[in-house]
Amino acid sequence: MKKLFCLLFLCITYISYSQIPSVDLKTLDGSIINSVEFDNDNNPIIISFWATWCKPCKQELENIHEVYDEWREETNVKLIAISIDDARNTSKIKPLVNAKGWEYEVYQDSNREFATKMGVNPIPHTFLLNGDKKIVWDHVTYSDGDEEELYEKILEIIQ
Amino acid sequence: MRKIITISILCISLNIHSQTPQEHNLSGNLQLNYQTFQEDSTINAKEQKPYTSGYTNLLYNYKNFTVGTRLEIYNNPIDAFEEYDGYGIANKFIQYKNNFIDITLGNIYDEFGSGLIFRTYFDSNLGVDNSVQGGRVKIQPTKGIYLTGLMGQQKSYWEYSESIVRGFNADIALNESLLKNWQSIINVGASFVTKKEINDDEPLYKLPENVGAFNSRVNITKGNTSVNLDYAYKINDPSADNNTIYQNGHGLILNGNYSKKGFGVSFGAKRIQNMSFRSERNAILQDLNINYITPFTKQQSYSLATIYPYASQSNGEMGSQIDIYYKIPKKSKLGGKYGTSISFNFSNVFDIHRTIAEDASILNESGTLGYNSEFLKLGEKLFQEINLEISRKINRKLKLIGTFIYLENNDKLLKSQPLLEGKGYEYIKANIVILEVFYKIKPKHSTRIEIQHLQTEQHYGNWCMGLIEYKISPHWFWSIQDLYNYGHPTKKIHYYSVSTGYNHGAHRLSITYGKQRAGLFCVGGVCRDVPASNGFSISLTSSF
Repeated sequence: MKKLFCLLFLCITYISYSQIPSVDLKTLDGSIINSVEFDNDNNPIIISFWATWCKPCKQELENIHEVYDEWREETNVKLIAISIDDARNTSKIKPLVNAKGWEYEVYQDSNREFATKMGVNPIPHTFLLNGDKKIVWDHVTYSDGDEEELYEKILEIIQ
Repeated sequence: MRKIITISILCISLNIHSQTPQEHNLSGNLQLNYQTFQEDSTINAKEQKPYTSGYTNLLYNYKNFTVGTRLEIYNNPIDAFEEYDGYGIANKFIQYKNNFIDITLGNIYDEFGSGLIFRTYFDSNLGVDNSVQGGRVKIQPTKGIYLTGLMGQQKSYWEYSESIVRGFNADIALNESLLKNWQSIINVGASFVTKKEINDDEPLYKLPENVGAFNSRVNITKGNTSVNLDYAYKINDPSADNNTIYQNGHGLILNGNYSKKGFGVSFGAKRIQNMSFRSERNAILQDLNINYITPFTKQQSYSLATIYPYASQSNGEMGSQIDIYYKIPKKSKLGGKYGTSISFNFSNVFDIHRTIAEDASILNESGTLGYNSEFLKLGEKLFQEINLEISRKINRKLKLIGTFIYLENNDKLLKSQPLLEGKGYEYIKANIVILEVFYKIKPKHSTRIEIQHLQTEQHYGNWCMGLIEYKISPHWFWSIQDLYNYGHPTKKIHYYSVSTGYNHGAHRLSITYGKQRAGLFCVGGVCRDVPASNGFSISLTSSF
């Protein structure tokens, strides 16, 4: 039984090293972009699923915002924030992001197609992609200090 | 042993394909909930068998093909989920996609524009799953033009409606084609959706077999400013929702926003008249909705602020709202060392104004046009809210968020709240004050405290609430909370609960023990009645 679990665990670990799916998303001005177009010149990418009503999501994005310049300088990492807000809040995303001064790329996944294909259920759910755009790490929920673990992972993959 | 071999083969085959990673991929997620119910006369909670629910999504990707399925199980469900009792395949599809075409066969989730005439989606917490089973083709004939056509039958619990839904949608990014050198970004869209419902057993009225709905939209962005206009029209569609009247439906949503670094404002106005649109005219509650009408009010996240929610009224509503976000710069006198964030929301919703139609003798009479309604004339007020939130980081360890909410909820008309014995529906006015404190004890150890108070003269009277949460990043959390309805006219009730959770990567397990209040549980304006309960609740979510 133990072996079985180990093997399953290995499989799941392997599976999480996968490429992101191809889904059309909306930009904040209503244009369409496909997720395979996400690019950061072979540098790591963070994909964070959030919503305007999700407090821990905003806390995570706010806390990363405070260290984002440092992170970018040291690792060239880029954060892409995917809002799963539906039509109720789509018009509020851009004012909120700009007022917070977040310098992230922000896209909308209002019917959660991208979220579903990425296996996202509760949010925040944060993924780290390596230079080949493969998922190497992901994490759900947010507690103060979780960004430190994320940063350690970024440092690991750029070595 | 056989299992081990099978899994080994699976692993090996997956690992072989790690050389060509884009070709092969299996992923998915899982959710399992288990809830026990003890009898508790203080909160009117009934004893019942433990409720188990869960689902798993599995997606397999090979080159341009994706095959997906979702298995669901509901054992001894609570009343609101009764029709889901059982288990089986709730969703299955096969999809082929390249840069030009995307073909899907199976259960389809999609949204045209903002969903005013078409949106199918899945929400496990609300029990909403209105997927269309059939086929969908999406093509991108040239850069900036996106076309979708679909057809099928809608899912209702474990069955499918016999009505046929057909939809066509076009989105055009004009800057990619016609207006290449324009500074403004202009996106337009249009959709057309019909449902065909056979009515053999309707003796009284001649009902339309085909009901068509049309939607057009435009989104213009220039620099920091955006304007979005969305209009929908639906031909007459007598139904259980509108008391079988032959009125056409209209929906208009106007949104605008302006923002620059440190400041943002969003404005919206909306008018909905007779826009309920379902696969079957006798469907009610959350069943078989083809479209999605979102409320124009703030989406709440604090528990006392969710006691009197507003759900959108597809028969008629007129609303407006404004949101302002401002960050007082850091190192300023008012902003403090880290800056202070202010967010403000004002929203109100009115009923549409109605007068008796020429062919009717009373308002909304079945079999007639029902009513006349002047476009800009307001009916009775349904809801209003003022919400002010100030958030300030004091130092590296301490952060405070203060919120004040004043709301009015016209439950006399909305009739959504549980009733007190011997009392009718009331017009509820409430003041809510919330203080949230974040304190970092040491690296990776943090606490969060919430203190909330709701004051109202109506309904269940005053509430207070306290919560303490302790988290150790990245794995553990514990919390304890109590909602106390101390202003209740007949019995003052505590709803206490304790929770703990463990988190590992994308896997999460949480256990709660305690009492839950009865009420409306809402997400995105769609609500379900949740009964009062007392017991254990265990939840596992996992993504792989």
